[in-house]
Amino acid sequence: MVNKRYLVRRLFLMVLSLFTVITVLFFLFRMVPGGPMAAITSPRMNEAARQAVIEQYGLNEPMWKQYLLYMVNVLQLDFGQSFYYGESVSSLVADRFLNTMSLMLTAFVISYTVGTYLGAQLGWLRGTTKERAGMLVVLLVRSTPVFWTGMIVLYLFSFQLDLFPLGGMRGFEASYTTNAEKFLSLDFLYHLVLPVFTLCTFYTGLPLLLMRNNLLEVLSEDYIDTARAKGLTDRRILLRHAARNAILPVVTAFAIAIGFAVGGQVLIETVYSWPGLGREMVKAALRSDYPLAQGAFVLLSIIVITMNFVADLTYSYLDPRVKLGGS
Amino acid sequence: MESNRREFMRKMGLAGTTVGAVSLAGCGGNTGSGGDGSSGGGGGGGGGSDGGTPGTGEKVVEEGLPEERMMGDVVHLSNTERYYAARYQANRLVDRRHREELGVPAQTEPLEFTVVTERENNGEFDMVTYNWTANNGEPDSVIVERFHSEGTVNYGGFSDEEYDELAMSQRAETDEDARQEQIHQAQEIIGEQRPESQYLYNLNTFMINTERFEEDSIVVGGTGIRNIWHYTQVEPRNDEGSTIVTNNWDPSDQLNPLHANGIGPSRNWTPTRFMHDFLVRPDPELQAAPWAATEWNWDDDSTVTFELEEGMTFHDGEDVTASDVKYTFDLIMETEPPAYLNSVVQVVESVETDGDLTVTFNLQEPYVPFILITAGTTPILPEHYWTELIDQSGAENPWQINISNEQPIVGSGPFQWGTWDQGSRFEMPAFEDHAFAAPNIEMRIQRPLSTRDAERQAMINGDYDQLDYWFGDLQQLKDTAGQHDHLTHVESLGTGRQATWVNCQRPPYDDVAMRQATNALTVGAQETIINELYDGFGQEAISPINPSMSFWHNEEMTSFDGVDTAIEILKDAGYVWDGDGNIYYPEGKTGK
Repeated sequence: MVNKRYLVRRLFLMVLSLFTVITVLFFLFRMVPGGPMAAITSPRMNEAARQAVIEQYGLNEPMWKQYLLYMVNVLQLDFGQSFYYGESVSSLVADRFLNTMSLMLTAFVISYTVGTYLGAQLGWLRGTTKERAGMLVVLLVRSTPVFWTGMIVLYLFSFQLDLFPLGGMRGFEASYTTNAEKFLSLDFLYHLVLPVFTLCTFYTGLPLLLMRNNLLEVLSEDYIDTARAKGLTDRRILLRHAARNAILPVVTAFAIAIGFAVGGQVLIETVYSWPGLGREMVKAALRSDYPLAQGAFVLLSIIVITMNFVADLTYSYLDPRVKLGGS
Repeated sequence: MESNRREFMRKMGLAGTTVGAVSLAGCGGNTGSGGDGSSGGGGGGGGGSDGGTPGTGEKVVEEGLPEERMMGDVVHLSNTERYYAARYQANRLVDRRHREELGVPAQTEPLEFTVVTERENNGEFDMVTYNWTANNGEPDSVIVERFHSEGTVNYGGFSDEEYDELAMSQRAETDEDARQEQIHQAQEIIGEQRPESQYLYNLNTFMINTERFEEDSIVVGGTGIRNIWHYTQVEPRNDEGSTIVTNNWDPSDQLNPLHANGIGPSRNWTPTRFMHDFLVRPDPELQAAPWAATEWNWDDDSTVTFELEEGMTFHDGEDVTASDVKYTFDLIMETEPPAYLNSVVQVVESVETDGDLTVTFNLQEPYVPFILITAGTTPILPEHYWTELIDQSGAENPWQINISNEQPIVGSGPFQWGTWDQGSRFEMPAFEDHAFAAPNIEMRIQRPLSTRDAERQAMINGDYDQLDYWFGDLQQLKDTAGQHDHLTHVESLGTGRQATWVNCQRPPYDDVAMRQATNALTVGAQETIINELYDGFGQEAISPINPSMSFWHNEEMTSFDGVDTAIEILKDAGYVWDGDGNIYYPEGKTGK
């Protein structure tokens, strides 16, 4: 399974990766032409006023000093204050993170559950008309740009049929005071339906195809013939013997997908006016809002790196033959 | 309440309101046909190109011109097509005409707006184009900020001694007619010298659901229907009209009125303006109108006294007094928030009160724009609340206090703080106890949608009551209103103009002849720009002061018109062309 030395080495590498990412991000954003002043000062300000703002945000300090200060603050989990919003990056990112995860996690859980199940079914039905029709549909929706599907779905169900809202996370006149009130309301679920449906049409394809292809390989194994010879039912062979062994790559894909889910789906967040982290990251980068952009990308990196690690661990648990770091 | 309403109407001084299209007539101030420029000259004299003398509109072509006199690339900073397609296309059109008609190698450089700003601030441009508005309808923000040699946003480095004198003397002129004359003269110099050429005056479009609101109560001002006069006066026709749900071009992100972003971008400035009272406000005609102050008088050219309205209260029930006004200005002068350095800290010497309702400002020097720019943009803050807020917040400066649902705004404006979901929604209930401007509606909710199609659909299906902004297809919005009985399309000529500023500090635009030629070419392209690229939603423009500021706009200022005029101006200034049509500087001048 997993030995301690391996764990320590992996943890060290994770910290090193994160340090590298933070450093690269810090300098990368500052190399982009432009700068934050256009977004954080009024063009009518005179030079003295602009200088005051520059000093206030520490942008007058030499780059190495800004970097050191930033790293010291990051070690204390202080990601600074957004230039644009004037609010702490941690609370801004936390707020948008919840919005994004409520959308992406729901979509991923549904996509991977449905995709895995349908993939197993299609694999089992290989060579039949049902399988061919199923594959056609899957490849079609998987090849369709997700923003286009989003626009069509929105046009059909909201613009034309008026069955679902035009976007956002809440009704135009709905008011909430706490997150629990917001995320546990019917109003929120109502707003969640179309974006989740759109995302599912796209994301179901990957686990489905992975599962189907793996199942096809597994079905040719000797132990499946043995199971048949034992007289087990098709359902039992599929679920207990074939699917369990075919699911491993899907688990890895799911873990990695969760990592990238943090970045949201910028296009879907735009089409459905969803105030998520993906859209915020793009805007922060365009506005040169260094603290917010860095904070959001650091969070993304932490989760991607961690989820990769989790995927490896889960792999070794699901398949005892996989040994991480030797015995 | 009824008497308050009448009082409010008196304050507004509005005999009637404006609905629907604002008249587009009134252009035609162009005197220019190329004859008035200092180095221009309409000469050229008719006739053809006989005997080697080129006729009007014909270029002077020479052989063997030295390479150092050939004009290098003229860099035109532009927004990207994705950011604003019509303006980007207009830039491309004007640059192409420069190349094809004048042989001037103008190159459009599309950039993100942060980069445009940075390059402009550093003077790294020959031409730059964007939209610019007058601050609160006050012409000083154009005359001084933009074109005085030490103006805050005079990035092109335009400098003219006579102009500088006029620009500063209008600031000290308390007689309005005399000031108008000076501002007209200043525009004339700008017209001659042409550091700016306009594409058009913006015709902004909006929409309102007239099934829910009385049509004759809609007030259109310089910012369309996104103005306090409209929001306080509009009459709901039914329960659905008691709340106005509207869009926002971006969610509000900063509602601290002392922060630069709190009073800068309209996504924040609109709610800030609605939650606070100001001594004066610009009325729909963009003239200074009494608001919290019933009147003001210049005691001398650097002392002005305001009399406050009686019976005003803050949202928490405390009285609004002269000492709150003094506290606000003293706080700003003491803590120097960057946003107020220009308008307050560098303007006001001291503030004195006389009783609860009289407040006097002693200015550092004569500054007539004080009324609209300083008194009209500085919100009256409640002393009792801000003292507590500053103590509790722990922020280094008041402008850094993080305003939120836990630390909300308490003002005295016609709308008050409701709930704010930063990034998506802001709700403002009406302040029913406002002394003279209690709204007829109960609530304003701004709730942005991120696509224009969704915004338009929200109007159609009744989710939105009005569109405070519209950045989509202008004709499409008009057509939508035509197709749905419950929707009314509203147009307004704002205070903005799409214009190009040139860099007067380096060749080729250090030469007034080149600036005039570019103006002639741009004016010649206006019809195409307005009709083809802006679908007719614009007005031909000659002055940096918009005709919506009718008192200050000089409709007879000089401008130049057409390719032939441009060629004549350049010829008279000594510019020549080679056989391939490339332009060369006059003898003795190079692009270095």
